[in-house]
Amino acid sequence: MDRAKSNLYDRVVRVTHIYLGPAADRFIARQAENHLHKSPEKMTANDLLQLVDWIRVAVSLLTDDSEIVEEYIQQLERIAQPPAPKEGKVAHRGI
Amino acid sequence: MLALIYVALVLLLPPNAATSETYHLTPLAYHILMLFVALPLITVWFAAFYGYVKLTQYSRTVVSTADGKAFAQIALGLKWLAWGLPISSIVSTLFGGFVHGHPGFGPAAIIINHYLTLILSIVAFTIISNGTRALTNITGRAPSLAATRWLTIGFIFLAMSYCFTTIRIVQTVDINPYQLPLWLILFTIIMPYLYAWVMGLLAAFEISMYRRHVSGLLYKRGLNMLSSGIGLVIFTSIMLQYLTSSSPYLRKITFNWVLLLVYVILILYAAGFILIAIGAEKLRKIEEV
Repeated sequence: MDRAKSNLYDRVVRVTHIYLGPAADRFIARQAENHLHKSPEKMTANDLLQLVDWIRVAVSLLTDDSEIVEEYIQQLERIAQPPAPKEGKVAHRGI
Repeated sequence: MLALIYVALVLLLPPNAATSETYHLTPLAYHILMLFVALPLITVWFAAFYGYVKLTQYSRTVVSTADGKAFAQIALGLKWLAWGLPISSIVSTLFGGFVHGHPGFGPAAIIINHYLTLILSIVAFTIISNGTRALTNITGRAPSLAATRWLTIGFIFLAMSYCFTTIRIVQTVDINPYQLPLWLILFTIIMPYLYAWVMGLLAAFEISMYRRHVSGLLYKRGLNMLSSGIGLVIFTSIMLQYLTSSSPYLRKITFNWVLLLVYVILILYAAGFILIAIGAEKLRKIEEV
């Protein structure tokens, strides 16, 4: 479970790195501590969904480019969504 | 405070005899013209202080990180450049006034002025270079072979032209502008200046490399301005030092063109520091939202 949360945090930082570079981990840590009141490594998918709106506001203060903001937010929301079930295995079993 | 001291010195001290004679200026005309040079120079001082203070503030927000430590070094080097401007201007003006009443102090004043500017440059560019090297180490990228060769060619050209200009001035101008024998000029002025300039040019190149290789779309927007500003400050600083060394040649040009050249370089120097301030503010904002 802890490894999953740590993976979630790593993925969030990796995506954030595309936009904020070396400031990515500090940014996510700050958002998690200020708005979730927890350490960023302990962040769950639900926490991330709660945090997305705060992140949208914060990043909007850094740029007027709404396309970049939405692109970043969509990537975060994708991370927060549970993975879709794999249909291929079920089909093979039917044969 | 420094600005007030400088303006007072410019207005109250007697005019420089060589400059007045070369450009046929009365004492009043000299003082008015010096004021016209001093006021933009003071504006440049403020821009320089503003620039390095903003970068220092940014580096303090990321002090515990590798890039924060590097930016702190760069800010310290820029601080030396920024303080160097008023210090060398005030010292030079003070000495100029003192020499007017004590001509025997003239050679010593010239030597001290040269070495003061030189030492400030060496310290500033070395510290800036330490900072930019630390940034390059973060990306782990070495410069390409082509870039290294172009840098080397560029520096050889700069070094040759500076050596040629300086040695020619010493050998052809009636009064040696350095008041030192040629061998001492070579080892204690030319070589150290070339060292300072290679440090400065390397720093400009390394910050440009860091900017190219670091990621972060929004981070890079602030970094672009910061690195452009640092590069501009380094280049114009080197140009100012080069021109100061070639000042006997400048006397062959009409005063208007010399003044225009000085103004252009000063404006670019100030613009560099303003870019540094704007870039640092953008980066600081990322650390605060």
